[in-house]
Amino acid sequence: MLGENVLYLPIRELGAHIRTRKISPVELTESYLDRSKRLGPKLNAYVTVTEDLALQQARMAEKEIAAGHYRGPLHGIPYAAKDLLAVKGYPTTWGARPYAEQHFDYDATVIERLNDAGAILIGKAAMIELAGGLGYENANASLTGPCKNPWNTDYWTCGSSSGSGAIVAAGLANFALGSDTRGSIICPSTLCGISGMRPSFGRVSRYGVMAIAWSMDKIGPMARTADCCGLILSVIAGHDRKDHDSLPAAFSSFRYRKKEPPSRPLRIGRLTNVFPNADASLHSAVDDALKVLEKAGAKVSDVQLPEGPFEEAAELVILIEAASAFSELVRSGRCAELEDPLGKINGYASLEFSAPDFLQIERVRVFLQKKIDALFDQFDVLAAPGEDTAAIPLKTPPGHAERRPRNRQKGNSMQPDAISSLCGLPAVTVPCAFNKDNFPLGIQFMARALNDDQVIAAARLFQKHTDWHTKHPSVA
Amino acid sequence: MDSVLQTQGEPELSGQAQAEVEAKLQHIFAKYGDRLSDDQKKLMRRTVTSHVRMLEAIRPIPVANGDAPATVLELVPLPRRSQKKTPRVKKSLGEKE
Repeated sequence: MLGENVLYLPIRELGAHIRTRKISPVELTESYLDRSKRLGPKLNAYVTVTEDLALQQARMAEKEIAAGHYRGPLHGIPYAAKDLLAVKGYPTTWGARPYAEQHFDYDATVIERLNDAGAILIGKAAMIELAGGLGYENANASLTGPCKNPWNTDYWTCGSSSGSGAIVAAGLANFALGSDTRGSIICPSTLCGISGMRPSFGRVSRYGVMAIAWSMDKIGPMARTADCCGLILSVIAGHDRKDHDSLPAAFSSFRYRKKEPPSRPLRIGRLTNVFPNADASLHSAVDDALKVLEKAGAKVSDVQLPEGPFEEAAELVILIEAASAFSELVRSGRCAELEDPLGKINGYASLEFSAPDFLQIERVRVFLQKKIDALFDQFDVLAAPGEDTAAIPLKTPPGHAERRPRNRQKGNSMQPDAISSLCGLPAVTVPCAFNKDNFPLGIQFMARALNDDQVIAAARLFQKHTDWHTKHPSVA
Repeated sequence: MDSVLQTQGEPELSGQAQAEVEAKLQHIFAKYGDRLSDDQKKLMRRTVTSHVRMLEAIRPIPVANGDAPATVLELVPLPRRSQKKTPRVKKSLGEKE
């Protein structure tokens, strides 16, 4: 079996070894499978390990590469997919008991694209039930139990792409796909100390993906580095006419080029009014990270997020769209089968929203979009802590572990992910420090819609001058 | 005010908003009350209060007649749209075995 020195390699290096046949895709897959089967259950990281499919794909990759048919940097690379992505021949549970036996007879578009790129699906990653679509208050809100953080198994990974975060952090697969309606890639990536990216809305197809909120759902990569995220995005992005909200090819396709140096200094806005109640260590970690970027040539200045009910609008859009997306589950009463107390009842409350209220929110949303977009006239990216906490204990009392409390204190809740999710902006989080208890801290960058290359460039510049992304937990 | 209604540090709802909470709760309990335990009804009160509180932050924002919502009708010929395959549970959740 291959060791951690190989299993934690970023895609570009691992791909080079595979291309030059120094590493066999079969041996690599067997090594990740072995690790997944040994460590996955301890972390509650998987719903299903797709061993047969993985080995079949690995043998095919090996054969093709030996024959000189190398498909690109993901060829022969094992990954995991959040269990809301349809994969033919395997259950797709949406992390929820009512759907535990659900099967689809086709693959999600992103799975097809990764198949075409020669990537190897090693398993379906655990997740919060319905990706939190009907709300949740604690880490137990999952068909497979609470997902444990590889950095400390008494703590949670965050959600809803919980398994995807744990799998990449623990080196059970090389990368994973997550979904992000509002922070569900950014939060687990940050708390697990990996690099995670939420692409611009409409860039990556959601065909074959469980919907929470059609106007906010995004699929994105979770991996070792921002460069890995760029490589994966270049494969999964692009127009798909089977997704109603897929952008035209001219906007959705993503040609990733590792451009260096940038044509002009990167302009970074340090957000000074976000996460006001967060531990000071989170903010000082970001300050230190920005000093690194300044030394590397970036221009950093302070800026505030504009005032506005971003938080409320984001939450309401999700609640209302989710009530429709899961109306059958709610009206049938089978929401009672969910694990979480809030998830069991929230749908009934959300069915009470009126159409005029929904349209008012959607009209205000346009104003909010313009407000945030104006900031990007001055900055290429905005920077903030990846999250407002470094660690969430598994045993936090109900009502306190919810990452997005429904009753957050009004007027003091500027959260970058509410804004960027509501407005469809791209964001990347990368590890930038550890706190005194050895939990990873992250810095996130967000950019104007469709400027996905800017967030990757900022994060990559940071990772070029630091080595936080090379750290990994001792889980073996 | 019922302590369940208010989360620590949050302002009280206006009378009108409070009346809206009660009306929504009455409707929910009339429709689905038999599915809810007493604890769930308490949680429902907290949840609906939170929903109305968020709506109160959005409703006062002035919008003009021409300010269209962020919803888009995609003009795609029907034959192409009909190829869209929506994820479905094998058996409808509402259907009986």
